[in-house]
Amino acid sequence: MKRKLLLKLSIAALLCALSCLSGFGLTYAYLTDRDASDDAMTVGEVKATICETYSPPRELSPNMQFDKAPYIVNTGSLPCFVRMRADYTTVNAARFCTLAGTNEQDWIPAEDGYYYYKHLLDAGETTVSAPFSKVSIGDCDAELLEDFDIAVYAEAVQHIDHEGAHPSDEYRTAWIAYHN
Amino acid sequence: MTRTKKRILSAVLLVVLLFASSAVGVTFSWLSYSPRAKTNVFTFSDVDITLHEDKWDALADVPYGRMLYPGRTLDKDPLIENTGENSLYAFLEVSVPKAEVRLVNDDESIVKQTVGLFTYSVTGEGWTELEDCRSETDSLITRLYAYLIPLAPGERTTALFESITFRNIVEGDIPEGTKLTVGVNAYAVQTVYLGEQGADQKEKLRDAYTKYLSQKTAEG
Repeated sequence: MKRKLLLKLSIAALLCALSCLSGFGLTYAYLTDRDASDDAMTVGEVKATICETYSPPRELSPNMQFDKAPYIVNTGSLPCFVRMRADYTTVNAARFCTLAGTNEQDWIPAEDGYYYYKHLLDAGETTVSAPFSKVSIGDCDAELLEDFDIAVYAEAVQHIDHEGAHPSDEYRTAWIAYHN
Repeated sequence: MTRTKKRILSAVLLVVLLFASSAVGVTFSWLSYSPRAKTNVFTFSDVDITLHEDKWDALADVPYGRMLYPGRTLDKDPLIENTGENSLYAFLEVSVPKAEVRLVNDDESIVKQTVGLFTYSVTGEGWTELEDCRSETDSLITRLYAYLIPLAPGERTTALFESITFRNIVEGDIPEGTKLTVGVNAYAVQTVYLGEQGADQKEKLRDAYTKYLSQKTAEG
């Protein structure tokens, strides 16, 4: 009886000691925190389209004038600067025709043959005026007049962000990087 | 019971009592005393941070503020504020998307390569990269930075960088409308009782981050 009691007490003591020992060497949880920022940016694109009001004459004759007013629409997602040029498809047309009705408040004709739009064109906007509005055929020999096309060509270049503003001459300087 | 056995039993019981006492920390007083009741209030402490990007946040209100075009630089200025009550170690993890694109170099040559789509320069004083924590997948490059100075309550780190720049990529290689993110994650771990090991502060921070990561991994 006493032996059994001794055995039981010894086992109990051993178990108690083991449970106390297991309390050492615990890993305690550390205090931590986190925060995050993952707002997205969107890749933009510079795109432009020409639209125009045009009344083609039925017949060509010297000293006549007809309406042709091309505009540029920013169909991309970024603000841009635009320029336009018009070229004739025959030598005689280039000799006898001139473009008239330039609004120099909005467009500047340059020595390189382009008309430069002075204002920044936001996404979805259309130029407020056309670089020219009429085509005039001068005094010439009617026999020299043949059918011709006027090829209107437009370009757009991205505006470099200047923290919401832009230099007043950027409508020209923006093209320097483009050419480079 | 024999005398020897009695002695053994007494010894065992004494050992058990000593262990129990050391674990519990109880000191038995033989003098009788009836103390007045005293309440000890223990407040569970915490580590709290806030990630700030004031200039970046302001871009949300600017037209085209977060629109990208090749070569564009945008304001982005991540820093950490200790908004808790304990000193902490602060870390910033920056993830940059990567893709195979045609890059236009300064000499106008075009090279096709797989690169991170954004670049930035770490200019904030007190930050150092933990280079061996850098990781790369097919679509992401991730770098980890540690702030060398423990952050006291109410203090802020410097901004890790002030801006990010979109690479000069040939138009169309990243389609228009694609959403790109430079992810910034801020982490913090307590400084006290952390037991961080290392020959210098950078190594200690590396160890501190390892402890943080181990815990997060275990938490699942």
